[in-house]
Amino acid sequence: MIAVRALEVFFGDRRVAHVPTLDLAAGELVGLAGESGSGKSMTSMAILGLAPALGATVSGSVKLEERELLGLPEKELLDLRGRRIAMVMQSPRGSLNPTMRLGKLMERTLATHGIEKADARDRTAAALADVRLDEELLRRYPHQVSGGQAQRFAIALAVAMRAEVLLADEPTSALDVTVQAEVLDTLNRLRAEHGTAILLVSHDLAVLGRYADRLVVMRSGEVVEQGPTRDVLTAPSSDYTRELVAAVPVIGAARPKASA
Amino acid sequence: MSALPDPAGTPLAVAAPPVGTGRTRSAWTALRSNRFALVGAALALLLVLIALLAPVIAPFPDDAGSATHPEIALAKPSGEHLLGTDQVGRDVLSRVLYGTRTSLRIAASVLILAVLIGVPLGLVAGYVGGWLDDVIMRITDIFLAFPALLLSLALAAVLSPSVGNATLAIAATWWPWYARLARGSAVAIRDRGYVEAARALGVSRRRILARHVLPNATTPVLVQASLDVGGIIITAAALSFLGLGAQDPTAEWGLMVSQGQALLATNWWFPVAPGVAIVIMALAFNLLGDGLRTVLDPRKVAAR
Repeated sequence: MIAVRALEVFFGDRRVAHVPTLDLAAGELVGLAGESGSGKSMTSMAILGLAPALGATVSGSVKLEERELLGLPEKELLDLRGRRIAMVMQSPRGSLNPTMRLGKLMERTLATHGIEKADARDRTAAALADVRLDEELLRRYPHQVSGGQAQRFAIALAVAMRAEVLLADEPTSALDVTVQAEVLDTLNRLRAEHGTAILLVSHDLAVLGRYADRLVVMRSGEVVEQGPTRDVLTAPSSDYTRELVAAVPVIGAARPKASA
Repeated sequence: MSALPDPAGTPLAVAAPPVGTGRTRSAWTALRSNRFALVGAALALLLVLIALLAPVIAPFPDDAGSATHPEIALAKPSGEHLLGTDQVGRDVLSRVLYGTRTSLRIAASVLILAVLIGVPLGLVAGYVGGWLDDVIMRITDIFLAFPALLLSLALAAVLSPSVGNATLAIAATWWPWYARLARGSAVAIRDRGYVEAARALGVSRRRILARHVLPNATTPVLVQASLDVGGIIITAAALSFLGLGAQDPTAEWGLMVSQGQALLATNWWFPVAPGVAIVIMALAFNLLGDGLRTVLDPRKVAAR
């Protein structure tokens, strides 16, 4: 679905992200791990073609199926964004315009990509059911919904657009733990039911370990490790990943690791 | 609420106001608790009503125009003419009431022009940034470098004196403030999550500006506009007072003050009445604007 090759993102002379290779297949959930500043968010922004707007220069190749995205004219990128590649942001309510009811937001997003009104209604209903949200929510303003609801609504937008690729940048780090699971389960169901390819960006290895098929670990802009989740977690090849894995608290472990 | 399991949403949903309650109503609730703002709002509403109903409530509607009654010129206040008559015998009360119309029309026209010019320029400058921002804001700075009243005076003097030209002259000095205000808002909003989200959803720049940046930048503009009404009316009155704005027989407060100033010693009610009207008008909108500023703070409204 998505094939990234030799992607480099620069701010001036400084290379903030370097991804030699990253593939994302339909129905696959790939976890992109790393601490803040490791370049993981920049990588997802670069895939969407949003990095240049932030003042970065991007080189390399990002392909959506056979189509090269880097260097694509803005007009064509606008058409792809949201419709084929959607994004779920970190701040749940902050990502929703406070002056619009959610229904209007959904309506306009669909209209932006030329979806007919009747079709839009059907899609909205189906998408909300998919993420287990009540249609009543459409009449509310962003400040009248919870963080978890807002995040599931963002996912519903992607579902309604029938996006094939979903980039989720720290979608749960602003939510408390019980709500986190709810949002992550929604994402997980999405790829199973719709075959959506998901790139889940997170600093939380425990979360990624549970949901991701494959893991990519980044540090200071470099990919330090990449492979099937189990291999990365059980037999990390880089020192950094080993440290990260060791830092994950294990529930049900015989003894707390604090002494280690 | 949903019949589906929704552990996180339920508590908040219960606390949330009933569906259909928007920002407008919560703003109104807040406004009611601010006494000064309420007085300002009431006065402003009263002034708007007077302006609308001037033909009905003015005792001598014809006196707002070119009618003259030299035989009763400069009459003292009486049962018939509560505020006396002016130098050509027109009823001062009627002209003060009609003056509300002139003043509000000037204020509204200036604000509409200033907002229509300033806000789009400011939003584009703030959102797009770069060289465009520099160009727009330096032009704005040039306009701001002149004292507003002086620039208005110069412009009004160049154009022929009339209400319309006075309006243009004032608008020319007022729009830069709106450009600055809008730019500030746009810079702040540019980096908000929902603008980023809109970009990620493939919304074009123009639409983001119109639907996401503009609606969230309206509050400060609205507050500034209500605060500016007083200043605009005073400037318009000043231009008319100096003979560069409204011309006789237009019923305009500044013009009336100027016509009556020589008579302050003998017929003080003639220049004082329009002067008091100017003060009331300026005060009403300043109170309202101040109240709106407190009340419309978006965070406060959102928290309700």
